[in-house]
Amino acid sequence: MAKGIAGDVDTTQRISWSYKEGQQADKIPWGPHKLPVLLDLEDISIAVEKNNQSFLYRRYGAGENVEKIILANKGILTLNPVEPLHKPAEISNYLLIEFDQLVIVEPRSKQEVYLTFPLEVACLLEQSGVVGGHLIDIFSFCCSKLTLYGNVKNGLVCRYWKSLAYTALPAINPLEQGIMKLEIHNSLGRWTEVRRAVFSAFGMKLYYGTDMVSLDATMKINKELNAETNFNDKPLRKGMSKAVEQFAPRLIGLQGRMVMEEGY
Amino acid sequence: MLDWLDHIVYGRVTWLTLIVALLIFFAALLLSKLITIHLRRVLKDKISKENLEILSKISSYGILVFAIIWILPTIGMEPSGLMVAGGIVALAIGFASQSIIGNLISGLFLMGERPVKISDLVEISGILGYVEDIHIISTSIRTLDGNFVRIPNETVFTSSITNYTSDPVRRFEYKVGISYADDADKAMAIIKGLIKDHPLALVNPAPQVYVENLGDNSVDIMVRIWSTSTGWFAVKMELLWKIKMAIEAAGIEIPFPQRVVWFGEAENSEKP
Repeated sequence: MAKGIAGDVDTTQRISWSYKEGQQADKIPWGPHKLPVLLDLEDISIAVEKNNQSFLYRRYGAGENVEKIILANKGILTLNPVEPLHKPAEISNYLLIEFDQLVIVEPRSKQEVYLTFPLEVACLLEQSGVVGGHLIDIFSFCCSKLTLYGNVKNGLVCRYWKSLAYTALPAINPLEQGIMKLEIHNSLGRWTEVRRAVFSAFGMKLYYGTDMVSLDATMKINKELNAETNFNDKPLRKGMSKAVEQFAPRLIGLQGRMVMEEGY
Repeated sequence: MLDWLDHIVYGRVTWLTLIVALLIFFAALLLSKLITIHLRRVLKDKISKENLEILSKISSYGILVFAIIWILPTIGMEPSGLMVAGGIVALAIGFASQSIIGNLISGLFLMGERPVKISDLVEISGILGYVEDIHIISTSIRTLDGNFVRIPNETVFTSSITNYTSDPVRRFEYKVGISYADDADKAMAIIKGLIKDHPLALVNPAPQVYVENLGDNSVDIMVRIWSTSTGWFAVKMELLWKIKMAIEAAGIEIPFPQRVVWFGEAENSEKP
């Protein structure tokens, strides 16, 4: 628990969550929490405390302190996993996942691998009976890093993430990382080596459960140095809820499709 | 009461036709403004800002030119006749307004070639700043210290232009000198660690950290880092101080310029 919060906050609801490796993880407190509330998530604490006729939102820990005043009499704080492209803000709309080992795909086949991706957590302020929440904060337990996909002249700046390619669901910290099922379609008549995949933030379909956040994606290898990635709007297993999208597709051409023209 | 409207002003042009011509001109002016506002509102999220500016300017100027060509016969000026008379007038005006025409043509070429775009950080004729607008005659720049500079397009067109934001990424570098007595490998490992931890220092193109020179006063370590073209300067400022602090915290000295002086033999010093 972060110092300076636990002792001096008058909260009616108090939830703690931490990951214990090798043990059955507790349920992640995704979803709505009535105000006032105190959430201790690993080394980050979130407190929304009553302050006269308003609320004070505070987030402490992991080297960041955030404070915001919420002018409202009542409200709901919703924790929601979001596309991992907000930190650093407004720099990139693309996520590049580099495979830790080279993946070789059989000619003219469909193969599945599981990858990890960084998670970002959004705090949304909602009101019962009112559709749509207001984003008040985003944080992550993963370090953010950027990279360039393509050449210096026309390349794309992408959020960088390195992941092992698993053949079964990996055991990971579910508040730090999500799991992506990637179906690779190799339409070429030869063995193909895949080192990385680039995804567009527009149309990322995140689903969350009490112990996992998931993405379901497809990568179609069409020709030499050219592949296309896309997201499927379905959870990795039944009973998962759909996360609120922050990069909702605005135009028909931005439905989460990404053409990788500089190799894969 | 309105008989005066039929009075001839010159040639066959009456006050009425003059007023109609003026009304058409102002209506065209209003229409061009409305269309510009409408285009900006409708296409704001659909095309880039600079393309939107060019499109709105073309539509605005196009409507005005069309209106003027339409008005000319009503005020007794035939465009065909103007072409003959215009030849002579154009010659005179051409001499008188060489620079304006030069700037205008340069402006058209700049809009076609587009070496700079609105909001780019550029250096033109030694002036460094953000492009605020590209007009048909001139380009306006807001310098980094907040001053407004208007540069004629002819100058922009004929000058060498450095555009710092045309590409998505750019590289910057430092030279870090450490003492000969210290471990360069250790210093390089510290610097690499700091670069790895910084979110805006790119993974690819990979940063380079290497001993570049055995200098007079120090072992010079070259540090080359790629970052985004919008965020590189913040990274440059932040990392340099972090590197200095981290290296010193590890007990590695960043030496001042120094010279080792050897005095002569002791026996010589005894001589008067």
